[in-house]
Amino acid sequence: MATAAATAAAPAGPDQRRVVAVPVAGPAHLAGLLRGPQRPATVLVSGRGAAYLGVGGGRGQDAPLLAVVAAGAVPVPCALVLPAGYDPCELLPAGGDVTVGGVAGGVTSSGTRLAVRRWWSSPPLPHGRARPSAVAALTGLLDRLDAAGRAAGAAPAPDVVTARAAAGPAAAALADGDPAKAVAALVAVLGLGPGATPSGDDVTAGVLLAARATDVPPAVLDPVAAAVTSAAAGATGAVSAALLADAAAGRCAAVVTDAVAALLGLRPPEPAFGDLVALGHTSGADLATGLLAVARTQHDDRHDTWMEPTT
Amino acid sequence: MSEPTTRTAGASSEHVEVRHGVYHDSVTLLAASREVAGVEGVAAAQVAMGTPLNLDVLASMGFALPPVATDDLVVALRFEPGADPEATRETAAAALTAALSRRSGGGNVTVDPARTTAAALRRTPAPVALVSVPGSHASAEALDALRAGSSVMVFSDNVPVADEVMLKHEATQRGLLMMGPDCGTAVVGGVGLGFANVTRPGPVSLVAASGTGAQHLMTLLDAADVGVRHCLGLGGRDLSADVGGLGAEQALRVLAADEGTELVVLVSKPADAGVLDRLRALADSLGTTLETAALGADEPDLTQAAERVCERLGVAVPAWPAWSPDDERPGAGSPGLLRGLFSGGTLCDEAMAVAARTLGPLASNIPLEASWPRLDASGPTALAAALAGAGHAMVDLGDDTLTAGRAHPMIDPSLRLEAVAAAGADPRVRVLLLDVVLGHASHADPAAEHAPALTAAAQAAAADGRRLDVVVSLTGTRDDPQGRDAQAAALTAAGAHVHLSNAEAARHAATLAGGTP
Amino acid sequence: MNRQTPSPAPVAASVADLLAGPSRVVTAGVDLLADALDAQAVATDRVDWRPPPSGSETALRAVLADSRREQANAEAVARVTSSGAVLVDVRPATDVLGLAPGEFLHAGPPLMWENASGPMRGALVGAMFYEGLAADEPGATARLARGALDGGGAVSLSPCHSRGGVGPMAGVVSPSMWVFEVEDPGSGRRSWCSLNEGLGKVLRYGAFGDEVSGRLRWMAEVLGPLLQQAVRRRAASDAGPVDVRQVVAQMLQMGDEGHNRNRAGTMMLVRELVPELLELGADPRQVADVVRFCNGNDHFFLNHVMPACKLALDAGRDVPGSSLVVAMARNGTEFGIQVSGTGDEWFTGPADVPDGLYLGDFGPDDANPDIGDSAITETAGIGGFAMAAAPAITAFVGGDSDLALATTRRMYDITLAEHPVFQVPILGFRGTPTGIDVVPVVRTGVLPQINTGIAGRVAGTGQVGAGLVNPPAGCFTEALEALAARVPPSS
Repeated sequence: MATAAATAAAPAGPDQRRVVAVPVAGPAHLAGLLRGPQRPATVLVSGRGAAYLGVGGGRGQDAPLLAVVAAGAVPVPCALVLPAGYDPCELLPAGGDVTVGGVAGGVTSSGTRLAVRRWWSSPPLPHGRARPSAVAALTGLLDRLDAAGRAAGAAPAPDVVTARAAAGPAAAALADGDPAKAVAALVAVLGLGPGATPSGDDVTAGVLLAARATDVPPAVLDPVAAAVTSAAAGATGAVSAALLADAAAGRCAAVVTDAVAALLGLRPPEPAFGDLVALGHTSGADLATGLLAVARTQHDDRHDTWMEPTT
Repeated sequence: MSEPTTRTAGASSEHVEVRHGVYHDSVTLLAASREVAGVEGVAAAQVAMGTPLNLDVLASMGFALPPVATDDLVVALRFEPGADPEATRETAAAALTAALSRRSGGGNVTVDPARTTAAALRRTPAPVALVSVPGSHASAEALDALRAGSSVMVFSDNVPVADEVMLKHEATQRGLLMMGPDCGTAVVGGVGLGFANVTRPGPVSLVAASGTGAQHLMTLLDAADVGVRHCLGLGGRDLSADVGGLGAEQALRVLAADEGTELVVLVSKPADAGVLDRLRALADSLGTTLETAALGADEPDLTQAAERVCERLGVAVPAWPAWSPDDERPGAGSPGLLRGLFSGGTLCDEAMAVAARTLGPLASNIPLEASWPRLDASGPTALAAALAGAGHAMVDLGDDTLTAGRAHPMIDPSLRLEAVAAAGADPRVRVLLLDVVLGHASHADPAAEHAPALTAAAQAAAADGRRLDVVVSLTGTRDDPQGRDAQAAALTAAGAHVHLSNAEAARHAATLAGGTP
Repeated sequence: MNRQTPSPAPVAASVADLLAGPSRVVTAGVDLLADALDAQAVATDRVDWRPPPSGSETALRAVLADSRREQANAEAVARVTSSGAVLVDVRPATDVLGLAPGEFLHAGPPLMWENASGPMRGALVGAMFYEGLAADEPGATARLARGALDGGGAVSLSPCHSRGGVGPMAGVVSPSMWVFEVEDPGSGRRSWCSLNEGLGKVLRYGAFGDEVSGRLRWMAEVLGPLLQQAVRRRAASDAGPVDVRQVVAQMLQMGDEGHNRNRAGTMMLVRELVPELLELGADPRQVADVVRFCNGNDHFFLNHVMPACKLALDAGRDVPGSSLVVAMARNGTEFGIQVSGTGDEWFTGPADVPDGLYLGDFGPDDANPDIGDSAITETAGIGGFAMAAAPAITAFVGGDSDLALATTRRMYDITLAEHPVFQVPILGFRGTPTGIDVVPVVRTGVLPQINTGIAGRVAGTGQVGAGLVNPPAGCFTEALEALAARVPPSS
């Protein structure tokens, strides 16, 4: 469908090919990359919902990741969002070579340029103290999911269990002001578990995001975030490492922000928690496990119910 | 569901056709008129809905009209002498059909689209509706949106003030935003509604009763790397005593609940003092940090407002970008008259306030002070005559009296191009000052439209032994579809001095007109 | 001008979606602004806006600004959709309505003999014969024209609607004819409709003469009394009276739309009544005749659907400020509507000739303008409005199944509610579009879609076809003006 629209706009066949501009929404924090000097990039992964581009090899601090997501998909913070009717895997086949930035800016592949026509940013992470009632609600939801899974004969894989077990010690270490201990707990599970974003990475992202939201002091949190980001580059896939780096910087998809806001009592628990645990195969529950571990150590029981704001 | 019916009339050198049961918006019809007028053998063409205004235009073109209702479509053609009327009419009809059936962009045309905003929202909800139907019908669509639980931006003008108050009360009672009527610009979460520039998100949100004023401030903040989170439009009347700031109050409430907004700037033309006081008090009670940029003779200009915002946020105030002409001529030249030709009313106001400090009162169709000379701009012809006899003058070409029967100058520059040519031929004129506004919905390449006219005017002056300088105030960001820097380059290649800051452009122009470097 | 500032509501949830950068925007007006959104990778939903008829602007603004309207419409349509309808009795019209000799009821808005169309005149002549008030056509015509019987009694014509009932096609009801009575169990209100005569030479299509009178006599002597006993017996049984509303809900799931296709509904009604008929102990041959008669006419149940719809819509009457249409009816000359907020006033325009398929050698020249009270079904959200439930109807009225789907979908744009009980399976069991609102009809020019039978232009010809028809737009603009005139000044 996407290529149909693109070729319809192009006047002739391959011998007379010209570049068709597709308007996209660009991630504001990557504006420097998207309108900077031209750099080569490779399509690392490509599916119907999203494609991921590794710039300059796709690994390390100077080689950021860009996602290209279909309209309606959950946009990760580094996503260029396509208009309705475009399919990332048709525009950007896996393994293809593209360029990022340059005179025209955006992302250019053969025949198509993704032109940034507006900037978007994932919503800012809220700050506050966790509400015990929200902690209880999310805990209950995870318990019910777990029980339902076991009843259906699908107990979590051993790697997933191990990864989730790291959340508690890491949260405790953060609460005790012991960054080294937190790093040790988290780095041990990076890359652990199946899928594009392994369970260990999601649990770690949850811990880092909740720690940022509940104002764990920078002196404690920043070294943990830096150590995890740097360790992830070698310990897990490029896509997951980049998303983890975003989480370390406090950036995440809106669905995760909403769940954090619900944990802090800033919005009702539903649908925020339900939307979170519905993410991916185990990703949502893994993230929730990380968030909860920190929330349990940082809660506030003075205001313990969700209240409709009156402004 | 009546089928279109057609009546025709007129002499054989003319063809006037009235189609019933057909409707197209004025922008589409203006484009269609241009295409039909371009058909070989057609001397003049106008395709328009039968509104009283359009009928006046048709009559002034000399067409004899049969009785026409406001919801009829009138197709009026005059043939070149010697052209075959029948063949030409057929070609023109085909061109018209093609022009009217073309829907640019699109991709969402369904077989059976909804015919009201209520029906569209009932089929698929959306958080906002953008209404730009003629003003007498806009309230119905806006009310549809509010009652469906969606916010609304009303771009249309000529909406009765009583409707505006009713709609804004309705929005407040439902916790929604009602932007407009006569709201040209809004940006929500990076999405531009109406005329809007591509800005990166930042901590500042604007609440704006002036569209071009908001666009200008946004582009300055973008250049300062501050960025803009939201720009909520109000419409030009919101801060009057009649409307009482209902839209602004609701916008402040919404922004107070918005996590990412750290500072709110209220942008307006001169506003009711009581309303401003109430808004300041509301902002205090909401815990909102509020800056005001209310234009007026003694108020800070938008550039100063941008600088104040930078200071409050602890961001270094940049040197505002400016581009010199490729063939910059040394020296000041002799003094002469200043002609400001603006598409944005607020930019015109601001430029007058700045220029008046060195040049004294300026003549205008929208004089800043009641005591300043008022130019007759009841139509393009009257305006040309008024300018031929005026001293320093600035004109808002987007004023209602001048846009009758044509699109806004931010879309269609033809009226300004004529004024540029007239200024080039006027020996008293020393400096031209123009605003060029980029962004979504504006002309796709205004520099390409203006450059030849600017070059020709300067050459005409030079041939006459005079010097004509051109100063452009360029409202745009580097990410705008037209590309701010590319537009600036094309304008400087045509000999223009280009400033991002409108106030700086006005100062520069006033200096050149005053004969001091 | 500035009314008391209302207390602000909490910021709505949709505002958060807006400030997050809307992924979808509804646009109404210039394409340029919608194009600018497409150019930002934002989906646009473009309203196909067109101006309302010139001259209606002032009335539209007044009615839209009427602060009572939203609540009034919600109230009126809720009353309509919650009204029940059970079959409680079958009685002579004179018992139900107290009609005197010479009093005739007819379909549609009020009518004078001089303006009556061929089938309406034929039906009135037939009724004069049947009541024994005239022996030949010239005699009947003369009495109807001068409005007086030979003995000095008056001949009067009034709409069925004015007496709380409905009649299909000509809808002529005279004192000795029998009618079905349906009741809303909640309120005890009742409505009525004549007994369906079947096809062929029938009074409702303007036929008159011995065959017509003979059948009417059999209906009064055999059909009416037997059905009366059966219906009363059923009503008194543990099962309670036949729930017409439930049968309508079921027939929509069986390919009927309740106006021009009533096959499944008729079968279900007969299924309910046959045991009662058998247990009456009546002459088996008469019982068999009655069952055969009901079964032989696919539209037998239309005469139950119609009063059920009438009963529901009457519940929605007289809500001040409501722009709900509570009746659409045609008398063969004029089409008329009544609106909740404007009392019993009729807003009329010339009835159109339906566009459809013709039987045998008949063609458009043989067709009478639209006639009958049966458009009460569309007014209540079925018939043409439920065409998507009855794709087979298109073989009868023209068009195809896409037309049926498109028609029902389009009607949602001019109606206030989706019926909680009447549902369309193919649309995911969505409720039928119910409760026509005058305002969107005027704003969009989308007119209610009616499925109807076509009567022959010449009295006594009978049915010549079936097809689709719309009300004249002028009914709705007139109704809008009347609503505007009733908006209180402070509103």
